[in-house]
Amino acid sequence: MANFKLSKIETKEKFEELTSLTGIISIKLFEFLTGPGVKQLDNCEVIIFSEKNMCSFFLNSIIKEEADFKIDIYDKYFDLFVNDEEIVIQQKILPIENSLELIQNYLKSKIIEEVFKSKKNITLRKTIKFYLNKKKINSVGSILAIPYLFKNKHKIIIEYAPWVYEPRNFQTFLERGASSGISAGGNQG
Amino acid sequence: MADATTNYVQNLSNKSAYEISHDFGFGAYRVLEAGLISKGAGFGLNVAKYGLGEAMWQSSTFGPRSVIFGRYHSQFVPHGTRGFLNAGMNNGIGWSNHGSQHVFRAKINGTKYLQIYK
Repeated sequence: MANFKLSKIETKEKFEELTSLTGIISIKLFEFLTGPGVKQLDNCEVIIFSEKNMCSFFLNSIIKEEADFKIDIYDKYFDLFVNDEEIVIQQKILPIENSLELIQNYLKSKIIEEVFKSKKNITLRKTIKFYLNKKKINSVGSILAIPYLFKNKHKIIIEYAPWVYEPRNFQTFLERGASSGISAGGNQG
Repeated sequence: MADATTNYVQNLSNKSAYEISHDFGFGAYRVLEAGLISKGAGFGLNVAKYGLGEAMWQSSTFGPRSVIFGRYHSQFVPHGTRGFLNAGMNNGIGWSNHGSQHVFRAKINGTKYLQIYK
């Protein structure tokens, strides 16, 4: 088992323990994450289980500006979790381009999480929406089976920035951040 | 029981095809009924003993080894089976993960309507 922090100076050699589709897609994902457009990788790590031919990416945001991602790649399948919620499980990797594009789109998307809670802090409904170029690409969520029994609900909206910016947008983002200070943290309202 | 079977076989020639098929159908129904009662009783006992989530996890019909609802993961559920209803992005019924916990869920159009923790 190899466990290391994800950073731009890491070499690809550590991924050589992985074989077949797991190895190919792990290297491509590593290249994508360490390429241009990613702001910070300080709290991110990769665990490689060479004996099981499995690779796990943990993208943890330091100040919760971005949502926490977890990507498991094993055998011919991958799982994707955002803030511990399942987005994709047991998805076939083939074809590689499509699977990689799917993961990349989630990493490039702006995420809005809406949570409805009762007065006693019971989660009645939770929705996570993904927006790519202002267009909703997917939404997932969960709903309590008997929400009508709980009243006085209030809504919490948390916005998360994308993990990966398009190169053009990233440049303007950096310029704006340098001039006015980057607005950090999930906005709660 | 043996006498009854012998009598039944001796009287077969006096029975019409409809009667024989009816008898066989009834026999198959009773076998199925006995099987279901036995399974249900075992599952009910496990629910009382361990709780619903754990009983479902241990069950061969609802558990991670189930061909319908099962979940395979090379690290977390290496003994599991990939259930045919438990796949896809937005729709699926079966085992999944919520954080580090195993959860049985029913998901329709991306929304979870049922969530039972192990």
